[in-house]
Amino acid sequence: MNMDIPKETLLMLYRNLLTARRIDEKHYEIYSAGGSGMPWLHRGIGQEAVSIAICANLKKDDYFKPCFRMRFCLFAKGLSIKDIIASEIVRDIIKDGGNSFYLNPEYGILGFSGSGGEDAGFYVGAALSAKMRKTDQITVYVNGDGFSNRGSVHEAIVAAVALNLPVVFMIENNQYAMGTRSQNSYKMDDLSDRAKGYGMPGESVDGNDILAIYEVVKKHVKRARSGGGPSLIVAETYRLRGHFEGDPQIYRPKGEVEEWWKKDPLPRYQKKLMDMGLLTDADINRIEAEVKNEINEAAEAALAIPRPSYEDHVKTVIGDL
Amino acid sequence: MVEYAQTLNYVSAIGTAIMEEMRRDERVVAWGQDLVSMRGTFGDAPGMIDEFGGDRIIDTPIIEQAIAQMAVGAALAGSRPIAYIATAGFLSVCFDTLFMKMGAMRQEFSYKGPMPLVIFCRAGVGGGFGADHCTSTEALFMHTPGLKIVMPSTPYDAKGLMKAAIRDDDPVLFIASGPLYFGTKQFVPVEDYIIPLGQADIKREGTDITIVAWSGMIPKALNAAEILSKDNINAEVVDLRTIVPMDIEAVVKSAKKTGRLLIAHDAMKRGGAAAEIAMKINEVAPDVVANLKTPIRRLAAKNLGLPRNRELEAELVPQIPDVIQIVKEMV
Repeated sequence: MNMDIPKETLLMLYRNLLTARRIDEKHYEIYSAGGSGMPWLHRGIGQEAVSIAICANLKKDDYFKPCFRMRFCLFAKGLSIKDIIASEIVRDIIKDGGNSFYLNPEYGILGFSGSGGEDAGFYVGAALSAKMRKTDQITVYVNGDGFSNRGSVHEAIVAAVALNLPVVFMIENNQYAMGTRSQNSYKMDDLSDRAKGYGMPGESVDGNDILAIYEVVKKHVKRARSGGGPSLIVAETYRLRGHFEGDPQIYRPKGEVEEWWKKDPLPRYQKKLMDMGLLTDADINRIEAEVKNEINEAAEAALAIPRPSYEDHVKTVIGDL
Repeated sequence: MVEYAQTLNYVSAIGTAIMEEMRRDERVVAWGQDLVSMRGTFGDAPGMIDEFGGDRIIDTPIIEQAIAQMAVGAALAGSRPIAYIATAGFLSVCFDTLFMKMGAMRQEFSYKGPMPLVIFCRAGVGGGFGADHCTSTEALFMHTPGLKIVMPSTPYDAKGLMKAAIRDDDPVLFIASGPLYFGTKQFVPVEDYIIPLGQADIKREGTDITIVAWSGMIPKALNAAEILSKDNINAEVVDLRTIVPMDIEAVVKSAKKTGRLLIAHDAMKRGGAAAEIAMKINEVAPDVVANLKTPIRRLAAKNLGLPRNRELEAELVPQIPDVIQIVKEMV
């Protein structure tokens, strides 16, 4: 482990990791209370380290598509927590003066595909645009182990390799594609070996070790930004909740979830910082209180925003031609 | 005063439009298969590849999904891309991008910014090249939210409409007619001109029947009209030019004048664009429909996959004699 990471960065990662955890829990709290307008909830608890470590390596206008269930982590790229929660509970953030959370080119967010992976080309196309516009923007494009199998992801990788585009592809392997174990979809020990087939470098990293991810992403981002072309990172992590809240999870072996809770990235990183002497109990309590307060305020403001109206929906773009 | 200094065929007119727009706006870029390596795939405007090839016009592998998706991402990122997909049949390979995302995504995500992109492909029968290369798929995309569809029938229209498509801030599907690519040349102004999307054009004036058509069906309708005129039947041919947005007012006006309406297309009949047009005129001008001398009719391809056989293909898709026959039945 390279311990040259500045103290401010280490503490920023902690605060962001904690914030991500608490936003996910807030979503669950609002969802459980009912009536929020959330059609469903796909939680990301336990996987936050990956997106938080990525964001710490990106500039505001770099293109980044997190694994879909981790999109709430985009606050770490500068988006407002209020807009994130408001989008999750289907509020009219545009009318409220906010920005579209799911599609916001200013922050490098170019949409999410409900048919996951079908957005791969959007983010590779933005990298191509950046190259043609001669900016130094790069793309980090992440899918879970499930959506990474889609044909459009393959085509996007082929494009990035052929055109030598600044793209870091990532697979956030949380071990399950809905109910299908990820190992049912590939036959190698190390999923990052897929990179070899495309002639690009690939490596795997412990997806629950935020500093390990931070270092690996930093290396790949630097490579992409300096014209080195695309590469692949596989982050091995685990989905601690069902595919959606209410999922009976009949596909899990007994005891598996409990084993992975022991590898929860948040307490793990907290302990590391305490061992390093960078965090005290008093710090932990203070940061916890600050984060909770920030999220409670954001959630309260989000819940006060009205739901979008039909008229506003129609007015959004070109309407009925 | 229009300066007529060049005669161009259809594909050259498209290439000229693209080259002029690339010179006018550095954000205009293009990619697809073999644009640089084979030259002319994209229109053979002289010097275009020398000027922009490898930099702003680039070759991609055979990856239609990525070609289309990259246009979405690049358009959101600040470019104005033209994504080349060889045939309208291959659009089905990237159907998710066109149908679920391109026109609908900004509404789904409440985004008010522009998404200026052109998907450029060709379609059309005549060569017997089979389903993937020839099928007219415009009806699928007419059913797609937020996607404009351009289908020109002449070099003049092709140039003006391509320029309009490139300058449009919304996604445009530009379906060129393959059989017309190297067809009749036409005087095309050297100067910059735009044909706004959503304006039909009367390709032939007439008094007895209105034939609404577009793209490769236009020459067939015009030929039929010439032959019919020898029997004192004067057909008016309305070229929609863009089927989304649709200039239904032009159809209404013409049908009101002639009292008869035939809609003809190369695409299959079931669920085809003709059905939409017939219903639309019924909705916007029921009085005109009520006063027609004969019910609205449509002429379209049989509901079958296209064969790899020119003669069989001609049996499936309406030809000039088919137009003549149905017009005579109606008049």
